[in-house]
Formats: sequence, structure tokens, C-alpha cells
Amino acid sequence: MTSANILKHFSIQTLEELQSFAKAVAKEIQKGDTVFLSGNLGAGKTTFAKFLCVNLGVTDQVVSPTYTISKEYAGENMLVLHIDLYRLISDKVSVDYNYIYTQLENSFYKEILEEGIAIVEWGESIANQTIPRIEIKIVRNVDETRAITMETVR
Amino acid sequence: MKLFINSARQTESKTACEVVIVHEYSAFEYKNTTYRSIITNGRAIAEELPVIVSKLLNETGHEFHDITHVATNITDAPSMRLRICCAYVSGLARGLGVKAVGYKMTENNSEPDFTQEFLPLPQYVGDAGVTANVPEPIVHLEKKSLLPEPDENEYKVEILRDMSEETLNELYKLEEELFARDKWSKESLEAAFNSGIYTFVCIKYKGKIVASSYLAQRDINIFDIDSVGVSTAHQGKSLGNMLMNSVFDQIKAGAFAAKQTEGIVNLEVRVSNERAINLYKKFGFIPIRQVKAYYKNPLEDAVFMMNTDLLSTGTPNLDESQHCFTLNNDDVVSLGIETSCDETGVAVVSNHHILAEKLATSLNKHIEYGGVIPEIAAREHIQTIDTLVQKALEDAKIDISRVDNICVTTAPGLIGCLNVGSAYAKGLSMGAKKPVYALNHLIGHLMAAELATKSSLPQQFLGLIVSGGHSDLLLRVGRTAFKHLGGTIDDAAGEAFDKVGRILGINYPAGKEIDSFAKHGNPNSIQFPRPLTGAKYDQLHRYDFSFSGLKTAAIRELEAQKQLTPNDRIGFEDFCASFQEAVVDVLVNKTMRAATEFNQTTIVLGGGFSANSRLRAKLQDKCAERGISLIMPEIKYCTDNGSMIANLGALVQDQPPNSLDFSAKSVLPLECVVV
Repeated sequence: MTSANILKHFSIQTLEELQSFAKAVAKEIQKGDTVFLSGNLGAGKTTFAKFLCVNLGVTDQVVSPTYTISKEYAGENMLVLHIDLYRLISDKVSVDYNYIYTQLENSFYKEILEEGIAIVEWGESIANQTIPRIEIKIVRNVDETRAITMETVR
Repeated sequence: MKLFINSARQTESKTACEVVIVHEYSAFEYKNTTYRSIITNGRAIAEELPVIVSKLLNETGHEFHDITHVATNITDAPSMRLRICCAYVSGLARGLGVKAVGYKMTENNSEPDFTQEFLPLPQYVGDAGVTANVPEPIVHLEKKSLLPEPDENEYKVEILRDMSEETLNELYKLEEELFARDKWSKESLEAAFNSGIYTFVCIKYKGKIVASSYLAQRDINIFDIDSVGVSTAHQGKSLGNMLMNSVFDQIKAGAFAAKQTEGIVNLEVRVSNERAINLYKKFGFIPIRQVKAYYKNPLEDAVFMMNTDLLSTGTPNLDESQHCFTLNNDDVVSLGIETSCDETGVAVVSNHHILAEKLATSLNKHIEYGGVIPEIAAREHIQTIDTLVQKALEDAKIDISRVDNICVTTAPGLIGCLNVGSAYAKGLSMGAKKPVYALNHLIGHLMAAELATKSSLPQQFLGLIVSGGHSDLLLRVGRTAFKHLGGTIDDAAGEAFDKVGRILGINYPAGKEIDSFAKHGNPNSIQFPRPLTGAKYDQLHRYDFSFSGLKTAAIRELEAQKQLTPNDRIGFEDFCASFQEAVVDVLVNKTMRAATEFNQTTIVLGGGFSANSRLRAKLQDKCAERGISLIMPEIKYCTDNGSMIANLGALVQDQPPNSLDFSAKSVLPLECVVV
């Protein structure tokens, strides 16, 4: 894998700012892309994923996919696969990353990438995989603002 | 003729699924191959496989009954296409009554060995790399020492000889706990005791009354048992048996003293109280009639039961089977299949009566891993589903030919798991020539209360579905017409419980444990937010829920508690109670608001989270206040099961069945019954 990493930093003060950040990310996204979202419980991963989906033209109510692990939506020009690996990695001391990766396959991840994009919450748990991706890390500060880093791994 | 489905056929560019009809096999070569068809799109297998099979048979002039063997391949890879094929083959063989075989793949596409039994899927080796741990809480909150388990030797039966103020208070407390709306007042308890008609039989634990029964002697040989109750904290200790035995002793003593050798004992019970009904049946009571709307708040039928041979035989009649529902020729029989998560549920249901039900769960394996692993769940489904169908039919004492329709959960849920049930149902449907309905799991949950009432729910009601994946308000506006009023805009209520459980150090699933700790805590110790309840949400999110922010508030609260000295920290039970109260408050308030605004007189509860004791109690209170009847499923039918899906068969039987190209979906509009 050739990795041309581009690292960007953002400081988000309000929900509206998070919304416009999601709009900007949506513009950069192309079919075949995978977006990794990382950050602790309550950081705002699902909120960001919702904003991203809306900006990709998803009209269905986007809700947390934690329970079903993956949810599939139709965007304006593409399919959006929203995956949450939380239930696969929570409470585990050590995890077989390859095993987690097979779970993506169960959601027809590869097939969907041909027609759309995937948003993967807790994507860092399969970071060993050579998946071209946009990594977005969200950190919740004490004052409730968010520090976001975005990195493109190709 | 043999039907052979190869889910891992290597073509030039990619792996494909191949369906072949053959008359003979020879090593490493398909001979006399009549026709083969290939599906290259992995996603399309679920939809296309049954269609391709039908087409193949059609084009080659074959019928389904020409098939003598069905085979598919098995590999170690955890692949969805492989599971879909296995499940389909397994169902088709069951429907046709022929043999299904699995065979190991080799690089050479070797031939299936038709002398073998159908092989279960092998264990996936990757599991070895996953190890589980109890989650580490953000901060350790001190737990009060919970009530110790009751000591069995401390239970003493007592016939009340006098009614002191203290005794009266204890009896009343038990009434309040168990029979909220039907409770006896202190005045009526005292009056009954003083009337000379009643005998009060109690069980005391360390001197306090924990179970009671009031026996009334109506005539020299006619008795009424007016109440049998065991305090929640002491249930599961066979106190019901102990109480009934003592009551029977009293009856016999009274009757025999009057030289009676024949007599009648009557009682009545709420139709949903299956536990009590079973206890009474065990003691020889026979259901004699059902009285409509006998109980108020919630409005419910009563079963009147009678025991006429107590005095003549003196021994309890232990045959429970004799008064079961009997199946008539024109009754619609539905076979239900549920595989949306970690439970494989199969059931045979007719007219809301369960003829047979089978449930297998892989939950224990998941607890080991701290959450549901879809790969494990899906594999377990394949390994158990066919056996469960076979056993359920056996238990129901019917053949597949007596089944009128096959009902299967198709959405929403874990896509890999849903696919197993759907593919199996398609195979079974084709093989047995029975219509199949692809059904909405959530409507199944909502209508599960029918299994308790054994009758159809009203055509108009407000439904609240709460589970790990859903928190939704629906209106039933017609037989199969539902209107979605609102739902969670982020996390579901059960999900919030599981996630907060994790930061408290409670293993998945955390709902039950938080519920039981909360019982000993103060729900007002922390004022957690009540999301989406303010006036500004009146328009946009009037009937919606949001629990993600509540989860964040809980995290923030625990982080704040961490800064305090251990002595200043809030108690564990208080934290649980406060958090639970916030979730339940929002659910109940929005539900009651919707009921008022849409003039609903009935509320129906469903979903895994509807087992939460606080939610049930609070809804009961509010409904009683407003004269709304509340219908709740029995606790055992709150979680996923096959009966609730089979129960939908009666609802959809007039609609055209699904064509076989339906596919499982992780999301769907809530309003449709048939997907």
C-alpha cells in the first residue's frame, strides 16, 4: 500500500459547525471510499455519521447501527453502508482484527463499495487492514467542544 | 435427480454461486449435467437463488418432487453466501422430505458424498483470538449490600389468628406490591377477617408476611380462594406450592370436620397470568369459563377455574395436558421462524394459541465475548434451525402439510442472521409448497401481547416498542395498517442501558441488572436530562426519543463522581435508579401524550425492554389514572421468539404471500407488516 497521508486538524465549537464540517467531508467523498470514525462513547461519532448521511442525500432517519451492526441506506447517487463495530470490540482485552474484518464481509461491504461508500464507527479496530480510507478522530474536550483530526490513508 | 448448489464456484474473475441439476456424479466432474446457472453478484444470492432453482427445474422439465438429494458445499470461511446456500438447502430438503448433504470443498471442486449426513458448519478458527473481560467502569461506585438470598428454612406457614395493626399493614403492603389496582383495602381485609367466612393463610419469612392467600367458605362444602400472592423478592422458591398445600389442608380440615366427602373449590385469575394458571392446574383446577373484561385496569378477561375432586381424591391432579387448545380442521396454522439476532426461535401457532415452540440461544457464547458476534449467531442459527423446525412440528403433533403458512422475520436485525432464517424459509416454502410471508420483527413484538390474551388485539391502539435496537411509537389504524408516530433519532433505550452498563462495569446485556439495582436506589438522586421533552421540540420531535445525550450525561456524571472522595460519591443503586428513571420517564410521558392526543383507549407494549419493571409499573399507574387499558406481553415473550412471528400468520393470511425473491433487510419502514 502506498500511503500518502494528509493530516488536517479542526476545532468544532457547536453542533452547527459539526454539520458544516460533515458537509465539507461529504463533498470530498467518492464511491468506493471508506470513512473510519473513532472516538470514545459520547464523542459524537453517530451524530457526525448522521450529518454525513444527510449531506450524501440519505432521506431515511439515520439511527445508531450499534444493535444491528450495519445499516444500509440509499443516498442521492450512492449507497451508504453505516457500520458500527462497537458490539464486536467492546469489553474485549484482545481482538482478532482479521476476524473483525470478516464481519465487514458479512455486511456485503465489498459489494456495496462498488455502488457507494461505507462509514465505519470504531474503524480503528480494523486499522491493520489495507483499506484505503479517510480516518476521522473525534475527541470530546472538557468544555464540550470537539477536536477533530482527519487523515487520508490511500 | 440431484440438485447441487455450489456457493464457492471459482469463475475467471470472481467467486460465484452455481446451481446445477445432475443425474449422476463422477469424481471431479459433473456428468450428465442438465443445466447450470451462475449468480455472480454475492448480494443477489439471497434474492436470486430460489428464482434460479425454479427456473432451472422449469426449463429442464423437472418438478420439485423429482429431487432426491440436495447438496451444498461447506468451507471454513465465514461467508454469507455459504450460509445462505446451507440454510436454503436445509429448508428445501425438510420441505421435500429428502436428504440434504453438505460436503467439504477441495480445490478440485470434488463431488458431494451423498452417503454422508448433512454436515454442520465447522467452527471458525478465528474465535480463538477473541478474549473477553468484564468492562472496567469509569469510577467504582459503592454498592449497598443487596438483600441476601432468602434462606429456605426460614419460611413458616401461619394461619392468622388475630389481626393486629402490624399484621394488617404487612398484608396491605403485599397487596400493594402485587395487585396494585385490584388490591384489597385495609378496611376490606379487616372486614373479611372479622366476618368469620375467611381463613387467612400466610407464609412468614423471619417474622414478616411474604405470601398470603385468603380462603372463603361459602357453604359447608363450597370454597373460594380469593387471592394467592407471593412477594416478588421471594418468588421462585416454590412458595406458591407451599401456600396452595396449606390452603388445601385448611379446606380438607374444614370439610372433613363437617363430614363432607364432596365439594367445590373456585377461583378466578387474570388470563395473562400463565404462571398462576399453571400452578392451579397442577393442583387440579380446571378452567371452566372465560369472562370477558372481568378485570379493570388493565381491562382483561378472567379465567374461572374449579376443582371438584379435591375432597373425593385428596390428591392434586398432575395431568396438565388435558385442557389444551384443540386444533380444528379449519384453524389456520402458522409456522414461525425468527433469527434476527442471537435467538433461533421456531413455533407453531394457531389462533394466538401456541401449539409448540422451540428456542435456542447462543447468548452464552456471546456473553463470553461481551456482545453478540454475528458470525457466531449466524452459524448457530444454521446448526439449530432445521432441528428446531422438526421438533416443533413433532411437538405440535402435525406434519408440515398441515401448516397453512410459513412466517419468517426478514427485517430488521443482523443481516447475516436474518438471511439464514429467510433462506431456510424459502427452501421450506418451495419444498413443501406452502406460502411464505416475510415479516416485520417489530410488528411481531407489538402483537406478542396476543399470546398472553389468546385473543386478537383491538384494531385501534397505541403501540410502544422498546428494545435494544428500537424505541418507537406506532398507531394501529386498521387490521394490518400501522402509522409511525415517532422513534429514536439516535440510540434505542435498550442500547443506552447496555452502553451505560458498560461504563458502570456491568456485562452485556445490562438491562436486567440495572433494573434490579435500581429497585434499591433513589430515582431522584441525580436529575438526568429528559431529552426531547421541552416545548421547543413540540413540532419537530413531538413523538421522537433521543437517548444518546442521556448516555453522554451519564458518562459526564461518572467522570464528575470520579473527582469526589469515595465517601462523597453517589451509591451505585442510586445512579442506576436515576438513570433508569430518566429513560422510563421520557418513554412513559411521550406515550401518554400520544395516547391523549390521538384519543387512544388502549396501549400495547412490546420489545425486549418492555420487561423493565419500572417501565411496566409506571405505565400501569399512568394508564390506570386515565382509564386506559394497558396490554403487555408476558415477560418471556418480550425477548425474541418464534411464537410472536408465527402469531402474525393469522393477521396476514388474507394478503398475497411474498414472492421468493424477497431479501433480508437491516432497516425497513416500520409501518409494514409484510416486508
